[in-house]
Amino acid sequence: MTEPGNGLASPTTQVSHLIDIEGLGTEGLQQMLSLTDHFVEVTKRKIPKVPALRGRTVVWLFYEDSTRTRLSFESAARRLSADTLNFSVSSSSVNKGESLHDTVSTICAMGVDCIVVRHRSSGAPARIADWVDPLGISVVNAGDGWHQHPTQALLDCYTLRSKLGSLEGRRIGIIGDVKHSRVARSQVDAYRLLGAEVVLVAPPTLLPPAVETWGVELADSLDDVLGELDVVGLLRMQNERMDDALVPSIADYTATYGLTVERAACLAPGAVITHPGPINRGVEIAPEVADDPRCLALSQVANGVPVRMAVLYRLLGSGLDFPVDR
Amino acid sequence: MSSLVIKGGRLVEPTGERFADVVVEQGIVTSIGPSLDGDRTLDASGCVVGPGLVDLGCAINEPGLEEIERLVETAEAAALGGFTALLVAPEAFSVDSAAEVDALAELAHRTGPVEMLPLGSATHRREGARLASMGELVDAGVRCIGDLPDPIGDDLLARRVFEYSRPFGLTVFDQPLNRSLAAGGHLHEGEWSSRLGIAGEPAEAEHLAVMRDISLVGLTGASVHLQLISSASSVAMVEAARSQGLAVTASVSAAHLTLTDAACAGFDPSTKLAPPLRAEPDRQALVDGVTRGVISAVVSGHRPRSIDAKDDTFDQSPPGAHGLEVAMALTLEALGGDVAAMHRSMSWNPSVIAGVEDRHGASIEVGRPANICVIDPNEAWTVDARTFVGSGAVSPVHGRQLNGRVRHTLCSGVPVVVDGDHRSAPPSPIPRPHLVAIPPADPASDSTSDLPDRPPSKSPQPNEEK
Repeated sequence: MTEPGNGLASPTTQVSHLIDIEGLGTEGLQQMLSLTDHFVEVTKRKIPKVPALRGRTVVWLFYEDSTRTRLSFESAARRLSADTLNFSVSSSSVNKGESLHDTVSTICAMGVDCIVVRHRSSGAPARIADWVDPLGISVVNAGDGWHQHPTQALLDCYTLRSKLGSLEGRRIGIIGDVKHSRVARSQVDAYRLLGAEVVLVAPPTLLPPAVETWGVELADSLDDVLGELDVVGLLRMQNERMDDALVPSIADYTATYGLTVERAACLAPGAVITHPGPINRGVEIAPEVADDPRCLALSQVANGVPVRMAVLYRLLGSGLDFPVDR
Repeated sequence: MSSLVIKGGRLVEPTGERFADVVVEQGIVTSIGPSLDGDRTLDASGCVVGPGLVDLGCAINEPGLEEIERLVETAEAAALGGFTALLVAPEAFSVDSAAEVDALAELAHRTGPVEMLPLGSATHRREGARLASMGELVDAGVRCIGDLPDPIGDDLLARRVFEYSRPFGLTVFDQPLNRSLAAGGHLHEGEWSSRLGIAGEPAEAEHLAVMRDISLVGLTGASVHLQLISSASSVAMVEAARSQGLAVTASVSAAHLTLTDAACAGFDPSTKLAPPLRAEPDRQALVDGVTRGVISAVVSGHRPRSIDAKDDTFDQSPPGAHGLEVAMALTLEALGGDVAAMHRSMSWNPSVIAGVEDRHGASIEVGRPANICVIDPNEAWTVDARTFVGSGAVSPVHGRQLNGRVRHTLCSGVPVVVDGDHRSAPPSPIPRPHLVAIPPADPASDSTSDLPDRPPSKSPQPNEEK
């Protein structure tokens, strides 16, 4: 069975899966960010492509809709010269009642090296890793339920590190629907591993249970902490939260927790804003603020490709070093 | 007539332990004492010889879901686990009439001599809308009713069930769960549900239901058994209710005595149970509750599921696991190897709650039916779910090292497990099932348990040959 934190191991051991941030550890996280530097350089080349993963096959197994994450992974794999296959759930035998395990076995039988999976069920990538590990096939978690979205957290860390330098001692706020957010869970783990202080700001109905075990600070009001944050990390607010009686209305949420123009004016000098996208303009962030240079949303997207190149390279490439040729 | 002697063991009784051999003839204990002999000898050296275990928490899948577990497999697993009687809650149908009681009795009869007592429905067809035919069920021999694994959800209906059941001396089994508060939960709401990002079921969903049931017992005077409590607060509430003299009993599954929600950390669906495994303070309170007699019974929580159904993600797989073959050893582990405490919570008390104390539980005495389990408390073994009887063999304790294993099980004198193997037991005539009409209440109870008073049953000799 996969233990919690079964992510990437130390460089001397065989790297197999990326399931969650905790499994990377501080060292693994730092290494991944350093490796990303190399791939940022690659993406700036005239021909941003290297043959590092030539002959390796990566399959996208996406049980949930995703545009940016899939495109980002696809772009990363192609720039590494990997072959890619798309398992489209909507047009597949999954709709005929095939079990997840059978689907995975079928894909494995075709001869793939890596499965990048997004699934609505927390723990699905961990389960798949249990099944395919004996076959030497790697699993990358591209988002599972409310559990983890480790490449998102990696690209957030990379973006913030590029902008702010070390995250050691930085105060990072995560604002919004933390309870249902795999992004928030991954970010909290990653930021803490890099030495940052994390403050969660959310209505109590959108805070996870037993949040006191997370090693983070809590704030009831965004206004209380806004001026002291180095990073304002926004989360996407889902409309259906109203239907579950978690917030009274989107307008009510925005009034209390939205990053309005007025609130953005209260940010500390040098503070930046992150958002994993897609942005709900006028809900968690005012349109003007979304277009403010302090908002790093597009940098995050841009860094997503080299970060995912680093992940695929670590899992499928020859090793930690970066010997790829032009 | 051939006789059988259980030789060299330590007899465990509510009053203490003693070394004695036990002779069984025609299904009845005929002699207890030192150095006895018989035509056939079962070696019990190094073992404790106690009454067969009585399980109050066993789900059955036949009829209807035979692909998961056939009744004969349930019976075999039970015998291997030391059980001689099971209160069975069918997964796929309801026991709501004498005909259904008889049909189930007939099925159970074919599986062998492990006694299966049907749990009658509390509500018609277990639909939670109208009362079940309690009078008819009682006439057919039913002593306990409930809509397990479902709770009696509606408060007013629960009150009516409690009220109507009281004159019959029925014990109402309720699964304390407030469905509204528990909605969508897959594991205990706490640190692990939070970290794993899986919707949790708060312990308060159980507390509200425990509180309701206890209140309604106070209102109605009914005898109610809270099945599978799982949290520290529930233990405290049950203790308070019992100290007020209310006829409330409770059970816990053996798994909940030994595992916490941390077992779910790897998303392994075999650790998904209902109620969910809870936090360490809850586990400790449950063990303490059993030790102090607040929780009357430890049950197997046997609820096999198909391997395919469990071979999925945590949230998509159904709750439940195989329990019969590991329950005794898990309970021994939780109770620090205290064999008498294990027997109290798995045999003596449950036999009274199920109303079968005339033939199960209590002491092994001359003249009583020979429902006996012989346990080697020191045998170390490793749980391998793949060796379990039945196809629904998933276990949250797969791979775990346990101490204590059943060596022999005798059901009405028939050795159904010999030397830990049910296949080595010789074919024997199957005694008739023990479903009999219950006479009116008799206040003179000679119960050995610490349970609230309830009408004792008086049944004919259960071992008559067909």
